[in-house]
Amino acid sequence: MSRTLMALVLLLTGLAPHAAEAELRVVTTTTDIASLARQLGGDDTEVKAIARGYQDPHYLEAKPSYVVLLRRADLLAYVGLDLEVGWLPLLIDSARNDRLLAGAPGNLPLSKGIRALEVPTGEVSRAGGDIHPRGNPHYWLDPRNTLIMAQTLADRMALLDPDHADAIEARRADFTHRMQEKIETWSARMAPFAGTKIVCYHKQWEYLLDWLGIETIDYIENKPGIPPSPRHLQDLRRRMQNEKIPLILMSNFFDPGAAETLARETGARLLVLPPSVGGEDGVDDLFDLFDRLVSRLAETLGNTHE
Amino acid sequence: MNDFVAIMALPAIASLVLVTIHAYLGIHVLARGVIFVDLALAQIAALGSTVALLMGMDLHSTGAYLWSLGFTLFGAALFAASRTKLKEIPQEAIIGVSYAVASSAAILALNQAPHGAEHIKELLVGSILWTGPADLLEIVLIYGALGWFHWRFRKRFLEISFDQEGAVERGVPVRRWDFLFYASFGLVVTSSVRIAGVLLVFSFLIVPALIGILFGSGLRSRLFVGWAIGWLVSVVGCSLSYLGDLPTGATVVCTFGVALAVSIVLRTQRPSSTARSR
Repeated sequence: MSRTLMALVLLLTGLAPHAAEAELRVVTTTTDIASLARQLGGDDTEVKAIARGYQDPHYLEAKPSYVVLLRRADLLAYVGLDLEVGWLPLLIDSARNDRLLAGAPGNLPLSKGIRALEVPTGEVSRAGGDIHPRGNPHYWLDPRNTLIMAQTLADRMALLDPDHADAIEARRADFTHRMQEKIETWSARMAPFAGTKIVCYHKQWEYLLDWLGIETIDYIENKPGIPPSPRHLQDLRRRMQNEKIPLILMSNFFDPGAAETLARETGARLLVLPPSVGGEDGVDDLFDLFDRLVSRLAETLGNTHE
Repeated sequence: MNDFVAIMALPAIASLVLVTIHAYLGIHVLARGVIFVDLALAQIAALGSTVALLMGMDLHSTGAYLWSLGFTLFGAALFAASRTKLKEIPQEAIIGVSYAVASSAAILALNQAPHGAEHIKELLVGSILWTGPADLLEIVLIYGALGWFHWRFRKRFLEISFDQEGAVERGVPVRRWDFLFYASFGLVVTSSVRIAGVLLVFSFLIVPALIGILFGSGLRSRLFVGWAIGWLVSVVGCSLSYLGDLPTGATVVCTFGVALAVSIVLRTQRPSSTARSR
C-alpha cells in the first residue's frame, strides 16, 4: 500500500505542470472573453478559458483542471449577470485563491457598464419567469458591447500588470479601431434585413438581433429549460405560416429535432449558429465569430427573399 | 502534488464519509431487496424542494429544506406502509412507480417556474469535486447522529431488515421501525445526493455492500470488507480523476464498477465455503 502511495506521489510530482512564467495569468469562463484577453495581452499574458466554445456556459461538468487553473490565476474574467452562477461560485470556493474572491481586483465580471436587456421590472419572482433577475446575460453577441468589454478588461489588466499598462492600452485602442470598422461593414451588409421577423429556439440571440433590428416573434422553447407543449407548437406553426416567417434561429448546443420539424412544416429555414468563439471550426476570435454570424444570416435571409 | 492535495483532499474525505454510512445502509437495502429506494427518496425530496420553489422560497433556505424533509418523511411512511400492508405486491414496484411519478410531478410543477429545472437538477447532480468544509461538517454531523441512532437500536433495525417474519411474531412494531429506517435513510440520501449526485450515491450504497457479501461472512465482516474496499476505491477514483482530468463523480462510479467486476471474477475463480453463510 505504502509503495503504491509513493508511486502515486512520484507520478503526481512528475506530472505537475510547470507553467511558463508569463507576467499575468488570466482565466476566463468563456472563449469569447479569452479571445478578447489574448488580443489585449499579447505575449505578456497567459490566457486560458474554462468552457469550450461548443459548451453551454450555463452548465459545466466539474473537472479537477478547472480548480488548478483558478489556483494559479491572477485574474478571473467572466460574463456575470448570473450566467455562470450554477458553478463558478463553487469553483472559486474550491480554488481558495484570495486574488479571485468577490471584491478582489482579480475578480472581474465584464457586465460592468453594459446596458442589459430584459431586466425585469417590479417584483422578481421565479414563478413569473424571471430567471435572470439582472437581465439577459448573452451581451457579448452585440459587437458594440465588445468595445465596452475590451475597455473594462484592459483597465483591469493594466492595474494588475502596471509594467505593461501602456502596451495593453495600445492593443485595446487597436482592437477598438478594428472592431469599429468591422461593425460598419457588418451593419451595412445586414441593413436590408432590418425589420425581418423570425422565430428563435431559445432566448439567446437577443443582443445580436437587437443590434441588427431583427424582431423575434416567439420562441420554440417558450419556457426556458422546459420542452414546449403541443398546443404551443401548434399555435406557433399557424402563426409562422400566417406571417410567412422566413427563419428559425438556434445555437448548436441544442438538439435541432423540434426546430427541424417546424421548419419543414412551415417552409421556414432553420439556421444553426455558433454562439461563441470556438463553437465551430474556423471561428477562432471575436472577429471570426461576427463574420460567421453575419455572413450566414445574410446568405440565408437573402435566399429566402428571392 | 501540492495541487493534488489541495484540490482532492475534501472530495476524497467526503467520499470516505459517504462510503462509511452508505455501505452500512446498503447492506440493509440489499437484504430488503429495495435496490432503487435511494433514487425514489431523492426524487421525492427534490419534488418537495420544487414545491418550495413554486411558493417563492429560495432553494437553499430553511423553508425549502423543511418542505423537502416533509416530502421525504411522507415517502418513508408510504414505503413502510406498503411493506407490511400490501404483501402481494413487490415493494420494488411501489418504489419504481414513486420514482416515476415524483419525477414527472416535478416536471409538471416546474412548467410554472421557467428555468427552475436547472435548480432541481442541481439537487440531483451535485458535484463531489466542489465539496466545501461546510458541506463536510454538515454530513459528518447528520450521519454521525443517524449512525449513533442505528448503533443504539441495531438489534431492532437488523431484525426488521433480515428477519421480518420473526420480528412480527415476536411482537416488534415493524411498521414503526420500518418508518424510522426509511426516514433516517431519506435524511442521509437527501444530504448525500446534494453533495455527490444520484449516480455516485447509488454506487456508494450498493457496490461496497455487494463486495462485502462476496467476500465476507456475517454482518460484521461484510461491513468491514465493504468499508475497506469502498474507501480504497474512492481514493483510487479521486486520484484517477485528477490524473486524467476527468469529471470526478463519473470517474469514481466507473472505478466502483471495475472493482465490482474484478471482485466477481476473483470470487468465482476461488469458490470458498464462506460465501454461503450469512
